[in-house]
Amino acid sequence: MSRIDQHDRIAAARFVDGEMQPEERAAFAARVESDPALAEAVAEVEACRALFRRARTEQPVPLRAGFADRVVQRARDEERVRSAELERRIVRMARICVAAAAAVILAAVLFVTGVIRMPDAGVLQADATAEMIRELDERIQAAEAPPRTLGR
Amino acid sequence: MPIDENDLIAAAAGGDQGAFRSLVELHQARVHRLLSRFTRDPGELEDLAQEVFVKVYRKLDTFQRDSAFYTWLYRIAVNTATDYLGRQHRRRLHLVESDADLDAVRSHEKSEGAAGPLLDEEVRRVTREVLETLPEKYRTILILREYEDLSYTDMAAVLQCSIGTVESRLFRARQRFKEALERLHPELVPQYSVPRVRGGSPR
Repeated sequence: MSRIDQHDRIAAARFVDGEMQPEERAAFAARVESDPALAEAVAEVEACRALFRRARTEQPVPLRAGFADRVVQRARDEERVRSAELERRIVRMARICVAAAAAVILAAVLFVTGVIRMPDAGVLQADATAEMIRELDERIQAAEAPPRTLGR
Repeated sequence: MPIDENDLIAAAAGGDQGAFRSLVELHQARVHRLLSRFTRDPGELEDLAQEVFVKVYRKLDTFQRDSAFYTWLYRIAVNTATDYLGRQHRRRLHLVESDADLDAVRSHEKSEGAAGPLLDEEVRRVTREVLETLPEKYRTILILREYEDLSYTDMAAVLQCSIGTVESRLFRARQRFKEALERLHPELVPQYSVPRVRGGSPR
């Protein structure tokens, strides 16, 4: 008896499931005739199918009358809920936009009337440069400091 | 006059609820049958089936006309059913037949000596029970192939994978099913292996 690999087992399934083209099917059928291991693989798939054929004679659970109406109603209800949610989001977003616009207008008014002022750009730059110099000094000092020794 | 499915789809996608209703009526039995492979509880089944069609209603405008509508519908149904099973935390599927029913079947079988229809009842129960123990992807592909008779091409479309993947997954699913059957119900294995016992020649 020859040993067959997974490829042949998958082919056996395709053969039983009717997934082969006529020429491939004829060639495979010839192989099945002469190869007991292949015949066994085919028989196994057929047995599996036969078992399920018996199992699928199960009566379906009865569908209650008016199913389509209930689906349409549910779809309509869900659509209404979604529309309401969308509306709420739009209102919320509009409120946020109005609040942001009001804040900008208020800031502009305060700026124009001189209540608040923008700091001078030159001063800001000088401050930043001084800060950088201070940091560099600290690093240089840290690098020049004698290494700390541990213990005695 | 026969209703053209494409017209219904186009009308329903445009918001025509009457067309959507007709579309539901056209496919409700099929969807219901598929979902009943995942649960036998009538309440859950109704709820799942409604969920499937509501999703269809919401997503109709994304349906690509180059594929068959029923494979697209099956995809939604399978995803809904497997999500549902996930939500149920892989709880055992509801069985119409309880253990008490099975005991009654067995005792009746012994006393009456009836083997035909009663044995089929047991086969249905056991098959369902063994399917339940399989990982979801194997259970789904077996349902699509063995109960729904879908071709490999249609299964690939429903599961959104290649035909090669369908072939190897179906192969593994059948292997796993057989192993589980041998483990859980060895008394059914001789039936399962009838052709082999008779000498291994396929029919």
